[in-house]
Amino acid sequence: MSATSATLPARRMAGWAMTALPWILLAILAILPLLVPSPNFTRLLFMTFLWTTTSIAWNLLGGFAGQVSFGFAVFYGAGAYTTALLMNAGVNPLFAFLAAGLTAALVSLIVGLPAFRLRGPYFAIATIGISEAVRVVMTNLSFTGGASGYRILEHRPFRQLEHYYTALLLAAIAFAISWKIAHSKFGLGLKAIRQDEDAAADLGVNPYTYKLAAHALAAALTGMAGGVFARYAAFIHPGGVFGFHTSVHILLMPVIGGIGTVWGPVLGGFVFGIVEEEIVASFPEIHLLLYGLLLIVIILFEPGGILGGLRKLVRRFRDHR
Amino acid sequence: MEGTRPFLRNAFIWTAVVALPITFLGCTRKKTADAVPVGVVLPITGREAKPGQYQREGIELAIKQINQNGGILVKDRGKKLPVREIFYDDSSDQAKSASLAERAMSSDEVVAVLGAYSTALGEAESVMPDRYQVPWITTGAAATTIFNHGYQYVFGTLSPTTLLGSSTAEYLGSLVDQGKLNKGLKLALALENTDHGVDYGNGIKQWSQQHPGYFNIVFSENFDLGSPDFSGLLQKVKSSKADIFLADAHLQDYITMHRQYLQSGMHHQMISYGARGPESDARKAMGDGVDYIFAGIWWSRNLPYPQVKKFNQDYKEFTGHDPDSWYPATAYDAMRALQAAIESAGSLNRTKVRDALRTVELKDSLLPGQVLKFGPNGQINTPFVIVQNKPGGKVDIVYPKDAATGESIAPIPKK
Repeated sequence: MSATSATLPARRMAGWAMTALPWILLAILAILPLLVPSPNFTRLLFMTFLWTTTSIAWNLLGGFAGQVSFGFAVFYGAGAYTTALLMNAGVNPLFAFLAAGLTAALVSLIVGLPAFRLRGPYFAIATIGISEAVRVVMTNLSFTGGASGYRILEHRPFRQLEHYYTALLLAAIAFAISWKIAHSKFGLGLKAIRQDEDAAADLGVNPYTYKLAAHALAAALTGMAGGVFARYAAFIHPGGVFGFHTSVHILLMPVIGGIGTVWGPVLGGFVFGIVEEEIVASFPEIHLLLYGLLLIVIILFEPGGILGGLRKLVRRFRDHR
Repeated sequence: MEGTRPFLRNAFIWTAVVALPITFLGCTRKKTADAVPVGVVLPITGREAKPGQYQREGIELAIKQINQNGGILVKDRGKKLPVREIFYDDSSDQAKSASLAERAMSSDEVVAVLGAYSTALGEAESVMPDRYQVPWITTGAAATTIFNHGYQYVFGTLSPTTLLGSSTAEYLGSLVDQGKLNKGLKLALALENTDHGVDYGNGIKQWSQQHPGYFNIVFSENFDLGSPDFSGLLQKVKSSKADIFLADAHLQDYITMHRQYLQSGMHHQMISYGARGPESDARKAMGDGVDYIFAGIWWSRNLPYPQVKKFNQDYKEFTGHDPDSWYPATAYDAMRALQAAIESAGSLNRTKVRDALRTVELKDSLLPGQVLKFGPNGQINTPFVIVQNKPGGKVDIVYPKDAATGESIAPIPKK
């Protein structure tokens, strides 16, 4: 038996495992709050799903297409405020979330049409400017409460599991979209843009349209995440949802997990969602130091993120056998 | 060997990265049945770190004293139980603040949560108490919007900010009555663009409308909380040619704004930054530049009550420094009010404690009037004291008259 034929079944097995893994994970996460009925655990996972969604969304543009944006808080905030306003007007939360995604996508076009004329660091700087401008406008917009924030008054009992499954579903949809794009012609186009925009254009890829499309898709997912968060928090304010730190958090997760990959942003979302809060809660006096150290360790020793490190580890383990 | 080193290094790093979350998840707070768990969520990092730390010290001093006396008597347990503090730093971040309050209420089995310094953080946390039916006493949020939603588990040891505004105007009115200031002086208002600022401005406007002829508001503008530059706003204040400048600002904004005020060379007959003024940080930063600033505050260490003198002494012994402005006192009294409520309820049942908080009366309160009692909406309504910074770092209570430790200096002398 040749070496090639011997490794073929193993490769097939690995392929099936990789296809089955998301479904297994989804099933586990779906039953987890029923097996561990702790409101705190459920809340922690709820927030983790939202962060994971935004992380996956950012990766569509920043990871696949290589367009580093510091302005995703604009979409998160736009989604949060759209949901809040619509829910207070009596709209069903699910429709409010969809409207949040649509609004964020529209905002992404308004941002993207001029901003994608710029490249590299100039684009990144432009997104910072836009993000700050939007935050300042929202801080002074009286009908949304300005800097005082906006309260969502939902006249029904709070059901945490309902929020949990909404967030899980959204994260699953985000993952499915990311997976699909990574294995599609559109995804290849985005990767080509990341490697060399001019060369991609020569090959028939329209970088401007591709970037706008990825941006809109990412914005829609981020906006919906903002909407789901707003409903849960029941109180939002511009300094939070539109804050620069929100943009940085969204950007940081794919970097931690592994930029430009399908699983990296998921890992990043989980690490950020769980570890950050656990550090804050367990070590209130030194949480910033510990979190900073963790980030330094990851970024310094493993620029490929957690996923890159795990891959290296597996490779080395194989080599040593 | 050469190939083994990177492998070992990677293995070590990734073991650490993977093990950390697992360790933290397993690292739940120690739960003891024979204690009264109390959640405390305050900022000790970020822009509100200083006031948050002072409030934490106030709560911890109260807890220390309660525990030294054997703890809180819980009748249905038939004994005194010590208080166990579960502390969280919200980093002055609203979302984190709400999240940590929720965590304390949902997983730490706390009897109540104390904290939320500043209106902005309090607004975010205020959603959680009714959701989890856990009493919540804010020690540092005063805006009326927190208390007018009909929440049943929300309490606060700060009087409303509207009262701060009207007390400030009333004090200035008393200076007019004494002949220290003229009638019809022009006021310029600079208000932080939050509910706190709105309430403060409303308080001043209401008093002015009820007492026509005393003051004319010639300028009123909002500013962003945490802004690094107020020069544009101050230029407008200068152009308004007002006689009195009243701002409503948090500690960091007060320091930034007043530094720029001094640099601009402006002078007003009276100047105030709302509930900020006597803080030692401001004097350290601007020296005698803070002289004659007056502030309406919820508590002063100069109040002539025996319990205040004892508190000042205990606090200095506990922390190594004097109480700075009003911050530790409202937090200290919040913990003592909770103790009284638990003892009155005779139980750690949260609803019973909530019911007891509604009727609790702390008769040796540190706060002006010496009685702490929550109103029907959960907020207390004790009077404010007006203090004025004097040369040499002295701070006097100048209003009301019966508590005054010194005379008002008005108008502010030109240097």
